[in-house]
Amino acid sequence: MSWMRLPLFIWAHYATGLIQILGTPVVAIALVLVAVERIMHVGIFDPNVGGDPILFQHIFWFYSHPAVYIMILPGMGVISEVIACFSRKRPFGYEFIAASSMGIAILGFIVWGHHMFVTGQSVYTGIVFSFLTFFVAVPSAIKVFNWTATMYKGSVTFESPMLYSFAFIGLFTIGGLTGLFLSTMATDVALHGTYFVVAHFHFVMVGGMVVAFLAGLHFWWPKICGRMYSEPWAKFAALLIFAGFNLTFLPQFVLGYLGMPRRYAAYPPEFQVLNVLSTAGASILGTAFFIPMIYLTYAWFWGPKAGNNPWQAKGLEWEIQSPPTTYNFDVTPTVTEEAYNYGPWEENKVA
Amino acid sequence: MATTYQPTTPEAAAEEPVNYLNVEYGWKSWLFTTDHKRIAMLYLWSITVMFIIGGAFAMLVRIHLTQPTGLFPPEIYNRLFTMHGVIMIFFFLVPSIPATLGNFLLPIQIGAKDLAFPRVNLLSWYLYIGGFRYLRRGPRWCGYRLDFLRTVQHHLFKLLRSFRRHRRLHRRLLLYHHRSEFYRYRA
Repeated sequence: MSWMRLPLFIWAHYATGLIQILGTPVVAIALVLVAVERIMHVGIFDPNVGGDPILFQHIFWFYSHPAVYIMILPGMGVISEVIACFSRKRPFGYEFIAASSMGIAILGFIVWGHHMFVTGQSVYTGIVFSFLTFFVAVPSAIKVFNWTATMYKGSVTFESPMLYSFAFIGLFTIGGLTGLFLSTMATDVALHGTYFVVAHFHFVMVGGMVVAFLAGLHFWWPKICGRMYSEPWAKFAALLIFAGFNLTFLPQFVLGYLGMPRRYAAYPPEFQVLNVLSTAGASILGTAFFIPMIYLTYAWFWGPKAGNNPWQAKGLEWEIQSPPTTYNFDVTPTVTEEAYNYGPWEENKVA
Repeated sequence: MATTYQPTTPEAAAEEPVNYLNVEYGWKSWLFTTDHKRIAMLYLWSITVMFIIGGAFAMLVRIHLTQPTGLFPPEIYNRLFTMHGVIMIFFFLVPSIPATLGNFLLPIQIGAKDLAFPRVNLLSWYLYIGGFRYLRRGPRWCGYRLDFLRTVQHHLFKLLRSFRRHRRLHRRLLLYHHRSEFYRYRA
């Protein structure tokens, strides 16, 4: 195994680990400072005792912006694996997907000010943060481009992990592009603190991370428990989640555009129709999330044996027994090629 | 992958070959395990429970917003979306893929027998479970010494009782929220 033979899932986790090690201490320090302020009444964040609340926002977002990349990068790693397997192709631009994970990890630390455009920071600071935020969209766009290019001329099949991956690409693209609306200072002044923001981050977090988690769970479930789940139910659940998700959060974009603020317990009556639509979608989505829980649990106990490699995938995890033994390998394997050796396109045409 | 490695399974061994799930049984074998795959499963069940709790709060938020005046008192609404956010971010999203699929697959994909520091790996799960205790009620110094779940439960039951008592649902909802004029949005 060498760096350039690592699966993209590992690259994504490497980048995530980097952010967690560098970012999490910052929020821990912030919480220690809050404790010091509350217990010893030292003015740090509370203006009543001489502190600065903006300082808390800075420290909070210095962690919490990289934290959103902690949440999305592993999802991107899962999608890279799933799309390569079900397109029977080496991921297009493997090196660029790996490098863009690292790029997101590094750039994610210098964009936190875009959460604070309207907290009174100077316009010049805002312009710099706005520019850097546009810049962080580049590695994300590289990934989306490479996933679609991996599917191009691949032998694409439509198993349930792949359906979740399609949902991921579409929803993450919408979530990412609306992020650009919010990183533009002129539009953010209007959209800040509205339901547009709520819809944006739910598209990235639910449409991105939760959907990617489900894609990975379906992809590796035969490896985890050695048994296969019901594919028709899995496809039905994937479609229902996609429909319910869009019905929940697309109306919230409109609500935000119309100016409904978030975190308010009441709203003007003319927004009721869109809110009821969103609640209807949420009930579909909430029901749909229970379906995978049921058939995956069923498969754990009573599913048919899946075999060691039900997808004919190429990674090292598919070489070992499913479920794996306690120490995975009797002998440490020597890896001589990367995890995506799917061979020429013609050979995989029938797969 | 063409490696020098040979699969561990004896071809015609017992019906169910020994694996990480059937190598030992009982709650002790799960709660004191250092196997990265078993810890991944501990995380999987924990985050699923947290996802259901966080999702329940999301549903309460959405149900609240079906009425322009809302169904719960505003301070309860604040708690609902705060609990939804905190549970979904810190108890579901951050551990979701790294702690389950990552824990399970990272050593296997790089050809290792386990993660480095397996006991620290188990400790992280216990810290995660311990964190849930402070979700219900914070420590004394934090200033928010409110039992979130109990207050939410109280108001939920109050609302359900009012549903039962009155046939004219819509009117009752507005009456229940008797301070609503005060909070009503003024254009």
